Amino acid sequence: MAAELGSFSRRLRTTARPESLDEVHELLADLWAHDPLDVSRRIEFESAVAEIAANIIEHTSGDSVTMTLEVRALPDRIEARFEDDGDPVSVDLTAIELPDELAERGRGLVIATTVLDRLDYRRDGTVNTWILGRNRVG
Amino acid sequence: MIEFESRTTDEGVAVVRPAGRLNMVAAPRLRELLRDVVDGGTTRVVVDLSATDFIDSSGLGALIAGLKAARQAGGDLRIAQPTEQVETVLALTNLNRVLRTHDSVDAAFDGR
Repeated sequence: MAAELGSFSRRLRTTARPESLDEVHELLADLWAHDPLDVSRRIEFESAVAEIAANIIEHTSGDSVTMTLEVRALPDRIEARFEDDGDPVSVDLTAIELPDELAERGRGLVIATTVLDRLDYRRDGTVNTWILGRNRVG
Repeated sequence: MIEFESRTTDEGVAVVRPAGRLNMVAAPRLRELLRDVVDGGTTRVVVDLSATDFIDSSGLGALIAGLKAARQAGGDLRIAQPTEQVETVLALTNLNRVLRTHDSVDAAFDGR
């Protein structure tokens, strides 16, 4: 039974390491169990969330970085918010392009920016924040 | 968690089947496995994606690395039966033009 739209949120706090990706997928599975978002949007949103998580984990450069992820089901959209205390990220989200077709890297942010209605990054003090949004319609 | 099954068909085609999520944990293992297959002399490779629940950009990178290795050795790498998420990500990145999808493992090298 789906809960009333806008009533669901869950939070995960973990150490940013490759194995944490399983926890990210588990959190999203919990969200989908409570939310009626259509399957194709779920797939797109989960793909984007996984890419941002992988990006955070990849840039921890061996340090112990704490990552939190909060997912929220809102009346008009699904939102994910990552925070981590790793190094600042240098990225221009308005200038993300597909790499050469035989490149082995560089597609993660392309996937995220293509499927999301909102992707913001900011650095406040020692904290990186990523906000990802996908509208329910449109 | 991910598991890789691999076998060689009677026609001499290597079939690798990743079961689970193909992400930054699993991608290095797939990359190594595909490299070993090609280095071992089997240059026609099919990656059966029917049990790959989820792929990310590092998993895509491993497939591209395998494709390049196979082609450099005179063969090819093809993919079969992608799940909906895999198909979505291939389309989003235009890799469906490079890694053509086949409906079955057997069909992947039909005709050559």
